[in-house]
Amino acid sequence: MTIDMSQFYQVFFEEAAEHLASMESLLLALDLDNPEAEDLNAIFRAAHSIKGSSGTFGFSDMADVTHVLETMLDKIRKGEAAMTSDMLDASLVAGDVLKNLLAAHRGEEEADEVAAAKIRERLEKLCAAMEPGVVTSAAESKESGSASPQVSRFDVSFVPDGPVAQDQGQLMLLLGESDGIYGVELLEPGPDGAWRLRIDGNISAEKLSSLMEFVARSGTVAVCPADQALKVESAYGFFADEESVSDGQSNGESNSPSEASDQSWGLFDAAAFGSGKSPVVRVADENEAYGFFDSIVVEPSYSNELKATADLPRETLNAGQSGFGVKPAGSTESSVGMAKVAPIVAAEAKKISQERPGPKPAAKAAAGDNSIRVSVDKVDQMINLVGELVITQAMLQQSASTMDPVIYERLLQGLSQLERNTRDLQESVMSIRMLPISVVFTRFPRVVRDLSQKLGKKVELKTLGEGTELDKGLIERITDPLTHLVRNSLDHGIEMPEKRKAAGKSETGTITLRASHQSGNIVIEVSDDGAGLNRDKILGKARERGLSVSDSMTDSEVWQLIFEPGFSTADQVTEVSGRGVGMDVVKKNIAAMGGKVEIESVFGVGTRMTVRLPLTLAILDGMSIAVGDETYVIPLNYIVESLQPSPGQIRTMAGSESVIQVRGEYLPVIPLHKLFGCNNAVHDYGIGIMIVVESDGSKAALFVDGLLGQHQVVIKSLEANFRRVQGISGATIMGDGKVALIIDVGGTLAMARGLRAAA
Amino acid sequence: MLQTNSVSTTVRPDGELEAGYAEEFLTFTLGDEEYAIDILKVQEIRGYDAVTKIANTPDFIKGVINLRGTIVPIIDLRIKFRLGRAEYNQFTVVIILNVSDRVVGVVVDSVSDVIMLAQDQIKEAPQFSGGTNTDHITGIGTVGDRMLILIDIERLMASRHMGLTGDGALQ
Repeated sequence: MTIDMSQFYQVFFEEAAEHLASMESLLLALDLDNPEAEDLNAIFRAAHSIKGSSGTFGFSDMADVTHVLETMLDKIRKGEAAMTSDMLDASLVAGDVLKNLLAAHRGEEEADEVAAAKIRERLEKLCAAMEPGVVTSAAESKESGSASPQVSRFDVSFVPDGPVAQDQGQLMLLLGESDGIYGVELLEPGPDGAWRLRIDGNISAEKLSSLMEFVARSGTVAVCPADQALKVESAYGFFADEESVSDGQSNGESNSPSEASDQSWGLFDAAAFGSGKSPVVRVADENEAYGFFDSIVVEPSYSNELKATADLPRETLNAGQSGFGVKPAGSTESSVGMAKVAPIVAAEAKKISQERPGPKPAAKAAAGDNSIRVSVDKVDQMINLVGELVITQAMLQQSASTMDPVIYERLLQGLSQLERNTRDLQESVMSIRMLPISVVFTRFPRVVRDLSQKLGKKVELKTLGEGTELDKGLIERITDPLTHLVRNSLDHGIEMPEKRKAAGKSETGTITLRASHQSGNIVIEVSDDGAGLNRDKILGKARERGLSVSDSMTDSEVWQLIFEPGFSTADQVTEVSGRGVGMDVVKKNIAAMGGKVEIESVFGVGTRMTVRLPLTLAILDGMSIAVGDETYVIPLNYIVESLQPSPGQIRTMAGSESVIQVRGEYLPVIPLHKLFGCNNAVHDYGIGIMIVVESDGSKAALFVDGLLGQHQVVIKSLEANFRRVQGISGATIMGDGKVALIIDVGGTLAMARGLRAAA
Repeated sequence: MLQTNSVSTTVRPDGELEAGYAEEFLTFTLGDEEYAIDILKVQEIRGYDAVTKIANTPDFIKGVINLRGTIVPIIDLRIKFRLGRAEYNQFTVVIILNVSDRVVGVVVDSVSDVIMLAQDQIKEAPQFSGGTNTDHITGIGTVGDRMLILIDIERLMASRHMGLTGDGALQ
């Protein structure tokens, strides 16, 4: 594989992953009872794009799976069959398989060929199942619930042609002999000399109409299910005028069949478009009705690049001519004025956009065109340079602070201008790395759906504040802990429907994900209206496990117990959870990001887990401290308190080690100068400062010379040019341009323990 | 790995130059000895600034500095090779190197000049018995009466003895 080729692969991987993600979210959002044609189209397009590009790049395994999926989706979106929950499931599984295959091509996972073959088979079966059931309308297929043929009654009208035209008896004979036709009844002839038949049989409308082709003048056959006749009348009315829009179908692909082969077709005549330029979909006669409607939706030139096409709300359509005007008009809307459409149509489009806020997908498509793909490295480099600029600016500011403001007025003005500009620049550059949290939230509908099905619970997921932005690095790392919290809520929080009913709650539980900014932090809440935590049960389990607990502990202290490694109150271990691994990992991961988890819970009412995170991984709230000649930074979230010890507080233990008594607890004292070998440091405990820190549940007092101040510092990697240093998590550049090391509190405590053990 | 980054295609493994090639070297002194390194590995030369010490590292690792926003470790080659006196004043020079995708600063006594060395000016490095590690010495250059010790700075910096990388040599 050449380098160039692999670059293209990368683009394909990214695009395919995006298409898969959008397909999944669309599938999940799909309302089975009333699918939006636009959504069905979008799903189909996603599958189609994946198939196309994977075929191009020679990933035939992906292309194979997508091909079957596409075939099925194509049928659905054309209205030949309705989406069933089985098909939805299959599509989702196919998405998973494709993700796996994609990861395999990236070299990240093993390709699961068995699963691929299995899903292909399943999809093929589903496709085959809908084959004979080419029902005439989506509504009907829903009623019948299956696509299998059954005895149905059709009204057929046609203008006879050929030998049968003169002989009704021969026609009846012919039809009676045909497969699947049980009965034929002759009705009153139609207005323009068309014959009308009522046919009962186990036959699809399409087959019937092709049968009738033999005896009818070409293009005059209209077949429609008899029980739909009334509806059809009104559907027709819709095309003729807007008053009678009553058909509940929201898509433009309703194959409303026609019994009335009357002049209303004239409305569809090409002439009515009012524009020779707009794509003319000509409808010559009734029989092409199917093809005609299909072409609206399929028309690749539109559906590929524009999400909003023919599916504008019907109410906005005026008389028949605009029924078609709308399509190009919709395109005009989204393609930002690439108007190839006659003025009359454009005007129509304008009218539509005023009447209704333009369809959402169109807006999305437009937004997509305005973004560019940039590698994270480039952005990081920019952030570095801007950070450097800020430091330089601070240095200039500092040296200018002693200048006489009268003499150097203009210089000082310039400097304050520079300060504002650099600050703005820094903010906007930092915002490049920010992504909305919806990136994470979108995966949860799937998690909740799968898990609630598995557990037999009814759960509704609500997400709020999806627009809240946080650093890309955080987004990647918060996903797993959040998933765990959501699964936890679902498994342990939400009760079974019967139990909920008995408790006077609605059967459907609610899990709410809410993200927001609070004073420089990102706050993400996972709350449920489930059973809540059981204080007694947790205390009991804790005692069983030999943890030191007492009944006088506050609720929040008790809730923190569930973060203990191996702690589980689940009565039995299930596939989902209950092994007690997880919550401690969640807490650890979140702590590693510089965040923390809080729990609030009321028994019987619900639980709320709150995750607080810093805005970005690149910036840390820290306390800078002096030890001898050196300056260190301790992350603020590890610091419990700092105090100046009184002589009586410090005792020695085992001769050399010191402990300090703080509020009844004895904490080991770690003199930082000893640990880091700093010169000129204060050795007298009476002069320096003790900083009480906590990491992974263990506390210690760090002895330092003094506190210098609290800052937000930009984290720089030591490892980029050097190596990992024990007890140090990174470095930062202080206002004076010097490097200060950031203390890794957990590592420092471990180091101190190691020293003690060695001593 | 080392070879892929190395631009010095002129020095063959056996230490001899290909015909017709002359290469540029930066020369610097450590005590009384004069060294030469491939100029293409040198990013810049700057004065010695305050460094931030790093605990529990060998004494020749002076610490890290802020080089326009990048944290760069500083190594005192005088201490490493036990040559010259490790004094730090306004004349102390740091050569910032770009080796194996890392930026590293080395402290030397002084930087002399940039010279061209042709094939016939470079002799093979003599072999020493035992103790002395000469892996990084690629040859001896002669310019007039000056003797230049040619070192593969990339190999030197990546070696285990430098302690620059996590555990031992770079890949």
